[in-house]
Amino acid sequence: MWYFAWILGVAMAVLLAIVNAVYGENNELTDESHNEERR
Amino acid sequence: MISNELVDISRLQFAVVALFHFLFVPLTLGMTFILVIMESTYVVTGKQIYKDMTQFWGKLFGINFALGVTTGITMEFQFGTNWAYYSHYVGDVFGAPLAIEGLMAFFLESTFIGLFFFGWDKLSKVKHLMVTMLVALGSNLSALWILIGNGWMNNPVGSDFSWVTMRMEMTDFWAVVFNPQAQDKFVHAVSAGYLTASVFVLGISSWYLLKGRDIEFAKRSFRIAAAFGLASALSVIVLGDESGYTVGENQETKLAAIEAMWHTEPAPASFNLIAGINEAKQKNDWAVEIPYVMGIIGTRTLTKQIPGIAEIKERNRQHILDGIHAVVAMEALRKNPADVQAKTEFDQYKKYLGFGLLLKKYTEDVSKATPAMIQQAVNESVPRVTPLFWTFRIMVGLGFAMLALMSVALYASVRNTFMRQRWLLRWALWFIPAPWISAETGWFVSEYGRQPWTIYGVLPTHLSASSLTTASVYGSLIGFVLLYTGLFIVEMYLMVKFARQGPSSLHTGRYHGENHGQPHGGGAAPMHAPAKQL
Amino acid sequence: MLDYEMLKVIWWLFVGVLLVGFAIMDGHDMGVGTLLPFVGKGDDERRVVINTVGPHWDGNQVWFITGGGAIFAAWPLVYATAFSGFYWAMAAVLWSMFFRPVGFDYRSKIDNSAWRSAWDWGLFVGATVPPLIFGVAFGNLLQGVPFYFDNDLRSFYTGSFWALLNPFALLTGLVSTSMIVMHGANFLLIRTEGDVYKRSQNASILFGLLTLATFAAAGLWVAFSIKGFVLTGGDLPNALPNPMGKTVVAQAGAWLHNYSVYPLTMIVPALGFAGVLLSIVFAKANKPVMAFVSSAVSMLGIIGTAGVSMFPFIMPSSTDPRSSLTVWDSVSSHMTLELMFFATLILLPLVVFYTSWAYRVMSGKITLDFVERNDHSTY
Ligand code: HDD
Ligand code: HEM
Ligand code: HEM
Repeated sequence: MWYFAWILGVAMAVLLAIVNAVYGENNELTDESHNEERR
Repeated sequence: MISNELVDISRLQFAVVALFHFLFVPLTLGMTFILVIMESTYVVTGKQIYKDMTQFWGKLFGINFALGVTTGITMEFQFGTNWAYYSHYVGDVFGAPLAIEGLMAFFLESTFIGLFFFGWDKLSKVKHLMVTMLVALGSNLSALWILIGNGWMNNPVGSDFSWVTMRMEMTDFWAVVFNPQAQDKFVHAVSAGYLTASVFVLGISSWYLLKGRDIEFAKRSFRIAAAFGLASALSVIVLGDESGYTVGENQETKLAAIEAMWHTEPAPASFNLIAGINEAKQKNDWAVEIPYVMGIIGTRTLTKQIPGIAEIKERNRQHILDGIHAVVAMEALRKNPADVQAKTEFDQYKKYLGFGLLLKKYTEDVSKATPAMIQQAVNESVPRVTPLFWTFRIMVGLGFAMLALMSVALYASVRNTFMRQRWLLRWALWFIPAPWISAETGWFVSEYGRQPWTIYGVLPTHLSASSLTTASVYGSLIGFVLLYTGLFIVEMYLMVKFARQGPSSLHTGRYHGENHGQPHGGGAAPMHAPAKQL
Repeated sequence: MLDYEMLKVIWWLFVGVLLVGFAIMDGHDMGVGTLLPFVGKGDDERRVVINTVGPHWDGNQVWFITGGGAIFAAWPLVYATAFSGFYWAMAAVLWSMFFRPVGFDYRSKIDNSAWRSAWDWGLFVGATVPPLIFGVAFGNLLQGVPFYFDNDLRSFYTGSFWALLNPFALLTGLVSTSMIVMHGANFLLIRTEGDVYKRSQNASILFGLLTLATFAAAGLWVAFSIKGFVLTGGDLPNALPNPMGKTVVAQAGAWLHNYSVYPLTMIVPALGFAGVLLSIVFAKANKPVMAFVSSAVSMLGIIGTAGVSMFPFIMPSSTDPRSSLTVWDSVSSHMTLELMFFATLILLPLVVFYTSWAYRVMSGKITLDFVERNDHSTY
């Protein structure tokens, strides 16, 4: 049932991307505070 | 009789307009989902920059979408204008998904796209996000229905020929919808679209990062594209492999030609990574082989044999001989429906009617086909190997290369190091054309590999064309090429112009090159920070 | 469940509904496109005109696409024969329509008057050619089209493109163009104000009168000097479709036959006339919504008139009358018709529902001020 796999798959892929974006925002925050060491 | 030249230019015209349509389709399929992701993140985090991202990438998407629609209108009518006999012969089955596509998908996509662009101030955040989701759903449903149609052309299930109405008729709609080939094609093609859009966003974002401008904007876009892109690349490859498997089940000729398998090998067959194909001698002069792999891809076993081209041709010769009986009986039945003997004969050989029709290319009366004609039909019952072999390898090779790109990009985005990895950014930038090349070669594999049939095993391409004059088709072909070239130049001009302008094209005053900027309320770092040292 | 004959008639109605839906929905933005260079003076006014239909033209255009798809699914022989026969007419429709998506989307993306005026004329062409050609096509259907089938049901078209442009067909082309322009003008009355409103009001009245005159003239022409077609044998409504199994004769005045047998059908042309008259009256009286509804009704009447006159014929053949395509013999199988019947029954109301919602969200007048404020986000 590839149609079914698609429904799940695309939802997961979208979630993965949102999570990566939000995780990146967190990274930014920590990044800001450690700016000096990082560069 | 339909001349070969007429058929050839009709094919050429279809190939040109379809391949052109598919330049814009994949970006639409994937970009709508990327917009969903960006806008969802906006709704979740409330940060203005994600709204700006949705609007800016939406702008590029809109430029592409306009040509997707323009070229799609052509496609809707190509079957009627240039493939009239096809339309009559299979309209009963093929017309239904096309009509449902309009009712279910195009209306949805096109109605809400207006609200996507113009509804920002008229809808609440969440409602607008719903609108964006409906656009994505609509565009993907359109891919679903057209690929159900196209899947049926490759594996005609759920239907039966009627000599009374002289056409294929639907017997089981759900079999057509759940056709395994349609399922694979759908997931493979939409994933190809997601990958296309991911590479597009990744590449352009990398360019901003390389230039050291709009850093905050580009970083966030990069992260989204990398994550969505990796999932898509995996899905494209898994479903590509699955497509290869169903092709092996249903279209032996296509698989054998893709693999340049001239002769049946003992199972499990080896995979020709590359080969020196000798079309004249029907063999490979040399080949780099990987043992077992072909057998596993094609049959999912270690024991089943995959037939080679020579064996398939011999089988087809028998089918063609049987098919002659079917055609003759059918013609007798159409003259005299009460002819009992013809009826029995027809029922016995009906399965091979399509193979009998292959001979119509050489003679009006197939009962008079000479051995030379039959030999020619046998030879042409398998598509030419060289173009299929190489286009397939281009698609697959680029597919793995894009998987690698996305893997590295996602890893770098999680580690938050990609701003400094200039080689990665350059790789992403230069790879922008790759998904398009893959998708176009993919269609070539699928469609050219189906030759000499429009409906595999049922209706030869030769019979499908409209009875037009060659002058008409040349004329329209020239017209399409000229108009499409002009439109394409305009599109590329705008696309490049707005990609270069970047988010400053939104005129919010927050982005690169806009001096009157005020600090914005979104919470992201200031946009006018001097370009960071990369 | 539903018997074959019933489904065949239902599909005749459904195709009619889709055509009228196309005329009402895509028709109003096409009318707007035709009027664009004339009611909008200067860039800002033109942007007002374009933005009245900006969010909707694409959804509306799907009525055209779905009409094509539905004909493919329900009447495959008509789809095959008509579009390959009218090859160059179809090319003209497609090629002119190319300028719409790009015209709308690209025009205001660059601030250059030559660029913008070029796309304005592109939008004009894309809006004016299709209705004209559809009208011309109906004119030719009424006169019969030169085509025949061979024994394998392959169709051959024996006419030329230029023969399509005969005087009667040009008249019906004018009917269709003027009704669509009238309808588009009425839409502009709803969505604009000031000078654009005034010019649209004049256009609505002018093209209303033109529709009235040309529709009446075409009616008289059909009554007195166009040969209609009559089914004289074969072609049983419930039988499997076989276009070659019937007999047909051409007869003067045959297209009025249905009206004398079923006098109630005279309501249809009456709606055509009444709709136009009311549209003129309401446009004059500054009642935009009523005018728009009236012109919609008039299009139902005018298109319906062509359908009812010809029933059960869809595409009569002038060279080989028995090859003519009718409601009984150009259709898909029972199964496909039934399936598509349910698909349409479920999906079309849904479409109407969310389309109305979209219009509601975007309702209100488009003003010069609005366009100036949203310089970078509107068309
Ligand atoms: C895998 C997907 C796919 C494939 C194989 C095709 N299309 Fe397509 N089509 C789309 C995916 C798509 C889309 C993503 O939904 C588009 C592209 C850009 C767009 O605006 O919508 C679209 C647009 C589009 C439109 C304009 C719709 C509108 O106005 O919104 C039409 C009429 C068609 N297509 C018709 C066809 C036909 C008849 C095809 C077969 C020969 C075909 N397309 C192949
Ligand atoms: C948009 C994606 C598509 C692309 C890029 C594409 C590509 C092509 C190409 C390259 C050919 C020429 C093959 C040849 O002449 O050897 C072709 C032919 C054809 N394709 Fe496709 N195709 C697409 C979608 C479809 C779909 C969805 C259908 C039907 C549902 C379809 C039906 C046909 C037909 C009828 C022909 C002509 C007969 C033939 O040569 O096979 N195509 N297409
Ligand atoms: C890397 C592994 C890949 C494999 C094994 C693979 C395999 C295949 C096969 C076997 C087909 C023919 C299907 C048929 O005839 O029914 C196909 C078609 C196609 N491929 Fe791929 N492919 C791969 C990667 C890609 C990539 C990266 C793209 C584009 C980004 C792509 C786009 C397409 C398209 C658009 C088609 C035509 C539609 C279809 O038939 O599904 N493929 N692929």
